[in-house]
Amino acid sequence: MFRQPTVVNNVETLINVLEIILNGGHAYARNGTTHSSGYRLFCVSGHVARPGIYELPFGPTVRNVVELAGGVAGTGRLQAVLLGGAAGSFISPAELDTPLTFEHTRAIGATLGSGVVMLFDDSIDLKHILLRIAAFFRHETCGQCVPCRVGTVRQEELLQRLGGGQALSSNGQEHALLKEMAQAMRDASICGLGQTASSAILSAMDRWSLFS
Amino acid sequence: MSEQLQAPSALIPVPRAPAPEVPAAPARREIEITIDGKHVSVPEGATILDAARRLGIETPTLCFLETLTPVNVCRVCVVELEGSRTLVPACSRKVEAGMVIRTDSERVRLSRRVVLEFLASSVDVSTAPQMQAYIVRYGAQPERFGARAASLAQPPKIDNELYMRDYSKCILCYKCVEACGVDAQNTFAIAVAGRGFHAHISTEFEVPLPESACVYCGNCIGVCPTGALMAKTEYEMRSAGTWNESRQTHTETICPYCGVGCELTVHAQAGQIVKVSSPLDHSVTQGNLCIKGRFGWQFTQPQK
Repeated sequence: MFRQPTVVNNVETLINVLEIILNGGHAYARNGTTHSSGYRLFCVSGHVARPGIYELPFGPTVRNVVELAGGVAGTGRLQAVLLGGAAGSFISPAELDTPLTFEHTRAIGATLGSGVVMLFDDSIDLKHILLRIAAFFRHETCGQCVPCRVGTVRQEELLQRLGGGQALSSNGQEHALLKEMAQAMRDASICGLGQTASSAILSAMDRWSLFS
Repeated sequence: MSEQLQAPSALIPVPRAPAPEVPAAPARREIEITIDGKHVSVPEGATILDAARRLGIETPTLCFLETLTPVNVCRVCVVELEGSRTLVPACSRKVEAGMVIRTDSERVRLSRRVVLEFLASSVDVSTAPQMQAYIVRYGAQPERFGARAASLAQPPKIDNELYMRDYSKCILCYKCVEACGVDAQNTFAIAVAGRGFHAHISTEFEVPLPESACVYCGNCIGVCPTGALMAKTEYEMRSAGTWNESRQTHTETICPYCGVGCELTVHAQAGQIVKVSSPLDHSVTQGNLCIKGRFGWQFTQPQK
């Protein structure tokens, strides 16, 4: 800004800077793991007994965080966890022992994203959640670049077709079409919104046969 | 500086001082990169598109035009850059030493094909021959999103005697906005309004063109890649089925109006002028004209 180096960061980043200045980088990096050092704010929400913001060093498993927040609420039977929010990815209860670090989430094809850990019990219709995510991105796209402007619309249309039992061909071919669209959006969109607009939806469709 | 320039007589103006010498620009550093396995050197500041063109590699572009600032929004020119998480737009990404680029990988072809499918499923490409050629080249199938895919279909806007604006054909390449703005005309009659799928080109407060700041230079028509913007004469001939480019002659001439000396390309069909344009690479116009040069040719032919 004004031709000077400029930092635009959020409070979570700046509060970490304080500790680095006070105690030095090495002391700070002793928290967390080698590739994900320091602390993270985990925003735990959904079907959980004590939803809230939990500040933890990188590295606890999803299960640890869920337990810290009092365990699964609702029906008590966990269906899915959304990591990283609408632009993140769904994981299944079988993946609860994944440590919450950049490298471990990446290894299972997920993402830490914004630090969101959102729980869904088995009363939730995930198809409906996916449609809401698709509608969110269709509404949020600014419309500047083609892959995001049109891709978010085509993605929502595709989910509406699947949800209404009106697949153009087979559900498998619709899934393949969504994968192609998602790759083009991830590869060719200008910003992170278009690049991640299919991330959560595809992660759910890859894990569960939601529309069959 | 010491000797004062004297006018020879009161009636003859003082001769001008000699023009100061313009210092030669420092030679630009050559940057070497690799594209599709071939080495190429281009001057610093050149784009990947420049380098690809030097190698004779054809890169599709829709929102790029040599005379306009790249906006890199159509994303059809994307290429694979080693070490980059995403593809990068060739039209605007400047070369950096040692870049390794692939322009025809499966990943590049997929993005280009899907981008063309996204566009052609949303807009009418019937008057966009370049896009039609890309659609064939990349095997794009816009119909794969189904008959109910949302489109921008809408009636053309005809609210003046010179232009037709058919936004069911608009791919939002921003070229008209740039030509109307700082890249050419500095009139700023149009801009992108709205968001998302419904972002569109608009006059201020969506007023009809005659109530807007438009000066009818037609430079927006000159840069439109899809025929969304068209001279009304051409639109009327196309609607009547009488527009026939194969029967048109192109005559290069100089605009008869003012002393600027704009180069005109006069498009004539059956002995009648049907359109006037100007070459993009002409040093005077860079493709731009004013209302008189572009539309003021009726005096040359008898009125019907």
